[in-house]
Amino acid sequence: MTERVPLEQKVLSENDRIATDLRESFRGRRIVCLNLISSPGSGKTSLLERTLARFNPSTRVAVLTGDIQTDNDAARLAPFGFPVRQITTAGACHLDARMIERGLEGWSLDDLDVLLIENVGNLVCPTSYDLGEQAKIVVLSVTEGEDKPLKYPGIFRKARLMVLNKIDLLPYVPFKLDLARENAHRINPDIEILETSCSTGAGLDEWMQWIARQTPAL
Amino acid sequence: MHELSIATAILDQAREQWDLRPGERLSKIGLRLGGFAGVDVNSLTFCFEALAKDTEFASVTLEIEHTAQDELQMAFLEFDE
Ligand SMILES: Nc1nc2c(ncn2[C@@H]2O[C@H](COP(=O)(O)OP(=O)(O)O)[C@@H](O)[C@H]2O)c(=O)[nH]1
Ligand SMILES: [Mg+2]
Repeated sequence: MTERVPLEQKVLSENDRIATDLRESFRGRRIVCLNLISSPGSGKTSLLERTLARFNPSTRVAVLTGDIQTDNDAARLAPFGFPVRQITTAGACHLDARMIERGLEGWSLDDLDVLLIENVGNLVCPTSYDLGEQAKIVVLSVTEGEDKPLKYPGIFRKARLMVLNKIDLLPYVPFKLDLARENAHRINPDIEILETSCSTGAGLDEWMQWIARQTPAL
Repeated sequence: MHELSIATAILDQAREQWDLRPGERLSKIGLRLGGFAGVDVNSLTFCFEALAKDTEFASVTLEIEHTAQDELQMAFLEFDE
């Protein structure tokens, strides 16, 4: 005799449980936590370099940066004087909540205003893993094609903001900004969009203002 | 690529329930998979079969219902007595 037992349980419930704890501890301390996701090379680390350079030194910022191998990104971000830690996933294509929990060990969360997370370069896998962040941000650079929101809808659906980076390259690549925006809005009508260049600095004021608006919910 | 860790999580969660039902055989796992979940079905099925092989779950079927959301949910388990 076969018995069907309803379960209705999220597959990544263990990850979600840790992420929920993280989110609560961020909220309780009014920490803004942002999770940056993109393909390799879209400019996540460059954007973070520019961001750290612009933060008022009195803002208490920390960065966790994920890669499969090497601590190159942490080395790039360390000179700005904020605490930075590399998480090497040794093969995993995404960060998960437990890696964030471990990455934060030894840091006093009470002394933190903003936590920036650079996820492993990948437009698919990081989408499934809640890290306790307040918002996911997808970075798309103009050399990747306008159709990416349609090809990788998962992340564009979950992201609160799309940063269209490398706009300094627009004269050299056939990338239609309007079409990229339209595609992103087709997948997620609520997604906010900023255009940036980490080379020229264009759009970075707006980006810093966007971060400042993400005041943590009480 | 992360389908391996998802398949592992599915089997872990199924095992937790199976442990509560001594003497019964797990025959089916029902999964709801949203089109926006970022999970590749073929890769997930492959990983699931590879992990279940040579275990007491070798004959378990993974039944996947596709939905339009971003959910990734264990919907039900079927046990044979
Ligand atoms: N022209 C141009 N190059 C950029 C821009 N942002 C990043 N890059 C370059 O793109 C490459 C990859 O950037 P990186 O920040 O390492 O990307 P990540 O893999 O997403 O962290 C580097 O060579 C950067 O110098 C930009 O706005 N314009
Ligand atoms: Mg990087």
